Amino acid sequence: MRISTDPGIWVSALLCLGIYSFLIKENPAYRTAEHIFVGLAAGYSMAMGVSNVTQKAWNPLMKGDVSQIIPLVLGLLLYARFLKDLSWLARIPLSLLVGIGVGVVMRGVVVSEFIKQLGATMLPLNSIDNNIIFFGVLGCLSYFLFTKGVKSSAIAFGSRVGRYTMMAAFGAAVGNNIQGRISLFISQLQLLFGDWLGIIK
Amino acid sequence: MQEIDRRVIYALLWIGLLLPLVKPLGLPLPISSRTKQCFEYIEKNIKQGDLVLMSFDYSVGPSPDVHPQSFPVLEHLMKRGARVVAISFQPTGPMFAEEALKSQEAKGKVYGVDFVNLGYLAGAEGALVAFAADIPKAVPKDFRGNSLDALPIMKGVKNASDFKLLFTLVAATPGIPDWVRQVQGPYAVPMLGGVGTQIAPMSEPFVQSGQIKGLLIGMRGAAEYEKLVQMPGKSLAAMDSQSIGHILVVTFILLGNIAYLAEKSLAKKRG
Repeated sequence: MRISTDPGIWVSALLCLGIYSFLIKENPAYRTAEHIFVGLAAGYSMAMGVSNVTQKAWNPLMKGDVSQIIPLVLGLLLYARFLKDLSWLARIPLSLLVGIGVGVVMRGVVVSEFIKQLGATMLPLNSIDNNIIFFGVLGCLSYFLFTKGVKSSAIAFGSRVGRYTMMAAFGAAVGNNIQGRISLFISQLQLLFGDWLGIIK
Repeated sequence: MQEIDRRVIYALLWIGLLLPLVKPLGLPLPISSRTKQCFEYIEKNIKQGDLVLMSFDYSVGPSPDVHPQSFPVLEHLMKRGARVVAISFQPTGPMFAEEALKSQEAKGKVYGVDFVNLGYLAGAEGALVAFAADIPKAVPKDFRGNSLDALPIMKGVKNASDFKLLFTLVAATPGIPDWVRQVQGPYAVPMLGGVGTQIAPMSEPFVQSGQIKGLLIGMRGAAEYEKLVQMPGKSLAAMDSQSIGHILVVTFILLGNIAYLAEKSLAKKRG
């Protein structure tokens, strides 16, 4: 057992213990660690944001690139929502953000997430995997048929297949979630009993 | 049984996960097909001097699940002689990129020649589009404050199509779908991915469709890659614990369900 002499490791370990103390019950050590985490994350993000604005807009503007006034003004207008009489001005940059965002996504979504994904389900039915994918997709699609004729036996059967397919998919997602949480916990154990206390080699 | 104090379960998990870390059990670790695909793609297609774009798009929360993947992947890329350009669309990404890249700097790789950290670019998917279209315009300076013109690795790099491979490490947004629709598809850049375990099911269809060539999933993916590149690290050491953790969770679920059904049947008998 060789306890770390690195102050950084000590801080991480003590804050980690503070967070885990919540498992026993809510307490000041937990709240302190939580507030430090939230504050640090917010501070770090803000510093990165300021650095981005300075580097990408302010510095070029100071060098004479007047076109940078547009994003700077639009960015400032977002804060108009805090002024009662001028709050409507915030809608201008917001509408631009939404419009551009949707446009940018739509540009690629049709090919990459619709056509290519459809293509990936059109498979020769010569293996169990391919059959599961093909009939699973058909089943899921028929589950979401909300129109007339949905009570026909073929559609009802397809819908049932879709329901089971989705349940299997959700189960896989939950399983992955548990695996992910266990990974996070293991990494903290490695910090506490490895990097800090030196029990794990 | 349903009245067991939840702290008993926490304690069992602590003990169950800690013991294999202190005294490893040596359980076998088969390599999954997705990890093998990643390794083989790099092995077959990456040659001396090839330019690889690596994104570090994860925050602190899921980092223990994704960040360990970056070390063996970088090791493999560098061993193949690739030059690596790191970029982040998450504010904490550059910090992780620095840590991973410094591990290569310590092995003699040169900043600006063998690798570079371009830092963080705000704006999520919109920023991704701008970056892919014109890299020097979107990122005039790197994370360490150097002008891109002064870096030999960035010479002649204009847009995303100048990269031989894109390796994106993601845990949320921008994620695999964003990179596929904005970079892999439009610029025809071959893509590999490393994802947090939670988003693996959403990323899997892109491997199925061939849009990405391989996928590392969580700490397990990192461990498998460490094994493949013969660079045993913390992830490989954690795999016994991971297995015991899963056995414990499955046991808890089974016991909980058995208790629930037993109580239900008892209540029915009692009327």
